[in-house]
Amino acid sequence: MPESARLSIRPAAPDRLVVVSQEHPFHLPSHAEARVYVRIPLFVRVVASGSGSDELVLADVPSIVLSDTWWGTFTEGELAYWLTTTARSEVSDDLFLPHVAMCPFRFANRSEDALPVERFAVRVPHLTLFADGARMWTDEVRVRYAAAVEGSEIGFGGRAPAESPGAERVAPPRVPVRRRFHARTFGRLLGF
Amino acid sequence: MSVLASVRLIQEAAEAPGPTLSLDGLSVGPLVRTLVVVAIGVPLLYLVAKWTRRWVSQHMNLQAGLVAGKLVFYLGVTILVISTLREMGFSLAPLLGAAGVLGIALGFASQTSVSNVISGLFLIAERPFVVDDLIDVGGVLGRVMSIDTISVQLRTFDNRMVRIPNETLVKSQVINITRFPIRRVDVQVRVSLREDAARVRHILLEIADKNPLSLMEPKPIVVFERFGEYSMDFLLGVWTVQGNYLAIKNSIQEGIKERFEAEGIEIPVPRRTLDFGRETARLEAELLEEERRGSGEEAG
Repeated sequence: MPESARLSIRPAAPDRLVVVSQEHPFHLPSHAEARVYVRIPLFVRVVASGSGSDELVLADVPSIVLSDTWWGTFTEGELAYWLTTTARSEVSDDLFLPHVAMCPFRFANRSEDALPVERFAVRVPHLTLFADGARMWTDEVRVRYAAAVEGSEIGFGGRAPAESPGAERVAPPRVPVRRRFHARTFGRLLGF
Repeated sequence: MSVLASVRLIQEAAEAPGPTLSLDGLSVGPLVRTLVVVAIGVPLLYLVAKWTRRWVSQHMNLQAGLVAGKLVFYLGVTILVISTLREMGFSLAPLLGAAGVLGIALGFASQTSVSNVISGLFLIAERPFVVDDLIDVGGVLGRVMSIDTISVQLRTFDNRMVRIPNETLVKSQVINITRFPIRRVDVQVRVSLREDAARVRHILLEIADKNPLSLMEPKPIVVFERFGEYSMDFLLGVWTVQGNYLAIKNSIQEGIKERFEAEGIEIPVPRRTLDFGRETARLEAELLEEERRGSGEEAG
């Protein structure tokens, strides 16, 4: 390897959508909002870079191997990761680990019925990663549910979250994101 | 000059034969024109058919592209043949006259082919399968290689080619195995009647949960199907993406064998009692005598 080449290890968001299975499901009343925090296991990237601007990703491995799941219907959908965790209403120092990033969620229920939050999809490849010392954050995800056929309206903050405004951007989204789009975010798929 | 005279002059000029080369009295003008038509027309026809197939494939799908290309090709061949015949001086009038009678005869003779062509159009419109899908037609399992004008060609897993007329496909039940992105693998599991059914169900679900190819959702299921002749019969259903079907079918069953052995769960085998009729009593007596002798020797 030439002397000018460098190897660096960087965090990255998972490469697929993550389905969060709530350990403690809750219901969001009609026209209510909630802000929760979900810990997302990160990937580790080994990147080789030379004197130029080109970079080569040598490895892109998960820090935790997550199970596969299917997000969609029986006839269409996408392969996703399954994550059983708790969406917390508050964060504390002990929740931060080197291999996870805290993802702030803002749910808004604009429908006329209560929204059961049992499983929801996190469009992880669109997340931007930030670091505040040893704490890893993602930008805020805003989900507006209106019982629409096309799914919930999803938006990404793109900036460091309000909880850590001075956090430094360490990784861009794997997949560049539009400002807002609609996608299925809640639900479950029965197996029989 | 009167109008009528002018029209008559134009008509006579149009009907006059064109300049021809003469080679020992043989007129080769029409022959040259025929050769030119063929020399230019045939490559051009191939190019147009190929372009049509590519364009339709890009804008619709591969299947429609294949059929469109073939239709353009056959149409072009027909036009070329008619043009060639006209250039060579053959009059098409008698042909057209005979076409009516020929049409009836051809109609009777080709009703199956026409039915297949029309069935092919229905298959294109309905799209029960596309090229590369894995389908089962009356027990014949294979990948769709091509969807042609009158038939569909499949490649079986042991590399045989199966040709199925389109009419057969329209009239039969066709199972498209790869239409949807996920698929459930069903495994029949039999355990001894002495086992604890709830414990068996729990273990089977654990095996499915630990298999990396198994999807968390849709969740795996275990169904206690029936009491068999010598066993309790369970169905374990595990979901996976299409590409992992064979791998998970192997790994799940291997996992079941391994775990059952570790847990001491018996996979029963059928037992049979043989009856030799009148000889049964004699055989029983001989076996008992041998056993008695054997135990007598051990004691002694």
